[in-house]
Amino acid sequence: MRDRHQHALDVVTHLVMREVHLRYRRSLLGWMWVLAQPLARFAVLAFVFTRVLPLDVPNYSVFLFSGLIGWLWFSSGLVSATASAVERRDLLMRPGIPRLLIPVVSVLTDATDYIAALPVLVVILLFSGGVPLTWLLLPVVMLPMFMLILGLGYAFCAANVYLRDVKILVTVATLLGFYVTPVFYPAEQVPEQYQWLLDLNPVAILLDLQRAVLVDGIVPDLTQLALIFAISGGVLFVGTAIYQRASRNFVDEL
Amino acid sequence: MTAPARTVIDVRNVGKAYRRAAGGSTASLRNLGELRARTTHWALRDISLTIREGEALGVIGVNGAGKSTLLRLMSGVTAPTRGSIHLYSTISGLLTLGESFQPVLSGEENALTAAILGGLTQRQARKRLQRIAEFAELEHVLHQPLRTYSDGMKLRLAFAVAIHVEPRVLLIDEVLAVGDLRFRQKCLGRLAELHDREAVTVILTSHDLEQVERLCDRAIWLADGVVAADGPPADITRLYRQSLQASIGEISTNDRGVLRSGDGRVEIAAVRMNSVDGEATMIVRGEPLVIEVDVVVHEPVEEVVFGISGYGRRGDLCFDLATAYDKVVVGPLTGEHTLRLTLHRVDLSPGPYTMDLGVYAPEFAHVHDFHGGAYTFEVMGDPNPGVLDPPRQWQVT
Repeated sequence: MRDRHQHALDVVTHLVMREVHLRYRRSLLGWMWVLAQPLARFAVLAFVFTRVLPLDVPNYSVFLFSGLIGWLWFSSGLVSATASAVERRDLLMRPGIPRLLIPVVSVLTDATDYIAALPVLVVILLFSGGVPLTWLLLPVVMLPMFMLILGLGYAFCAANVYLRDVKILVTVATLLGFYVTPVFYPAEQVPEQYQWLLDLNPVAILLDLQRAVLVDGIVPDLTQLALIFAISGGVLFVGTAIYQRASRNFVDEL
Repeated sequence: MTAPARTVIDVRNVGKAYRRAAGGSTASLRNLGELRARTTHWALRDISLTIREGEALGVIGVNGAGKSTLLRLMSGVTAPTRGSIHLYSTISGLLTLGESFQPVLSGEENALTAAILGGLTQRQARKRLQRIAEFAELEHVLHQPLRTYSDGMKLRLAFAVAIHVEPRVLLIDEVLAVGDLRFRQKCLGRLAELHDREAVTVILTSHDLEQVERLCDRAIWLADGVVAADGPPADITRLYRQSLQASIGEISTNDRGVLRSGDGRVEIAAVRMNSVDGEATMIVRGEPLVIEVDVVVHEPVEEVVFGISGYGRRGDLCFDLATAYDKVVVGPLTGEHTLRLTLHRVDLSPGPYTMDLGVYAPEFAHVHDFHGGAYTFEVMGDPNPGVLDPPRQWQVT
């Protein structure tokens, strides 16, 4: 039993490293490209919302960058997890590889982009007053994020095997989600009558928590933390159940 | 005196149905209508099999008989629609060939991934890399990207990995059909070694019946989603070959487990050898053998052909006789008849022989009744490796 867990861990580690390696090995700048996407987006958004349509947010660059990398992990992780079973048929055809691992590899691969962007955040923070100690609490905030992405990813991945449109729908949904989630604007600026929308959005809560520990240096509110763990845990539980049930016959559909 | 080997795979009354979209298109919203109109196809109907540790099982049958489906089920990558499968061991397998391979990565990196996916830890995989490369005979190109490899080289790499991950149960689906002959022989040799020395259970599907005969100690013939025959490879491949030649339509087995097929217009009701009912008849070399076949004619026929052939222990065809070959016209037939074939002397080597009996329409156009491997006789005496034991005299001058 212990061996099996050790092996599962080895498989995941190896596949994640291989994916990361593959993504950037053929490009000239290699690893630098990991940062290119968040930095490009960051530059455009920062220009628009400080020069063109100034949002009255103190220290906007830190605010924006921290939200952006969290959102990018969520959206790209969700899309790649949704596509994972269809794209990794070879893993499904391997006896002895637990099917549950396949979306995990996708979500973790995208987590490496998030982690690679953290040093950039550190640099920005150093220019604007220092890195708060609450960074040590980052794992506590990353865990529910991982659980949420994986839980949704499991469910959509199962659906995508039976209906390939799901991946496209998820992609479109994440594009829209970017605007209805406080990534580049603060939640407080949303009018009162729409606040309930944010309360329903677990990613809003997660980004809020991330900003608390990464930027504001605030120890997260325990009730808020408990709430997000409950939500993410629930999503993961349901998603896993759906995936487990559907994945028994994935191979027949691919 | 050895205890019966433990069961590694237990397949009970398993059926597997696939639902296919009418147009065969991929699932998407555009084809929702077609999705609803999916038809159910039973690839396997009712399979029960017990695989014991250390067995080498060959699965044969025509395309679409369900061989790959059976292997996928036994490897656990998909679940049966009905019935149950219990796996009591870790299963390794080559169900697809190198699908996990990444063309831009080197052979070494790909081998490492394959070894880890095959069940090794990172560290074990690294340690074994050298042996894998040696077996695959790819040491000199191991650092080249995989896209520069030929299909044969990829197969060699995939196979080398598969047998170096310490498999306990190894499933191989057709993949040994690729690659050059010499490497194929090497693979078969290595498989036989794993099987003989380390009691690795091997289950393979193949169109190459010789592979099955050489490597396996048990074979099953899948036809139309059921096990048509199960037994020693030589017997099963022989029956299978005959069925291919006769292009028999329906195949079923009677209650004695005899392979039987045909439309039943003329039925073989009883068979006697040297006036003795039943199966195993002992005869003395050089003595006559009289085979009597009682037939019941259910629908009158103008003319039929009787065929009788005999096979030796290794499945080698020793005689293949038919009324048509000897220009003997049989018919018209109604009611009941007895056919008598007298072999004036049997000069076969001592040992067991099995016979197939068949009644066919003229020109072997189709089969009325065919009993495969159903009747046996034994020539008494010390066995010798030849087929014939001719009457003889030695003289030294």
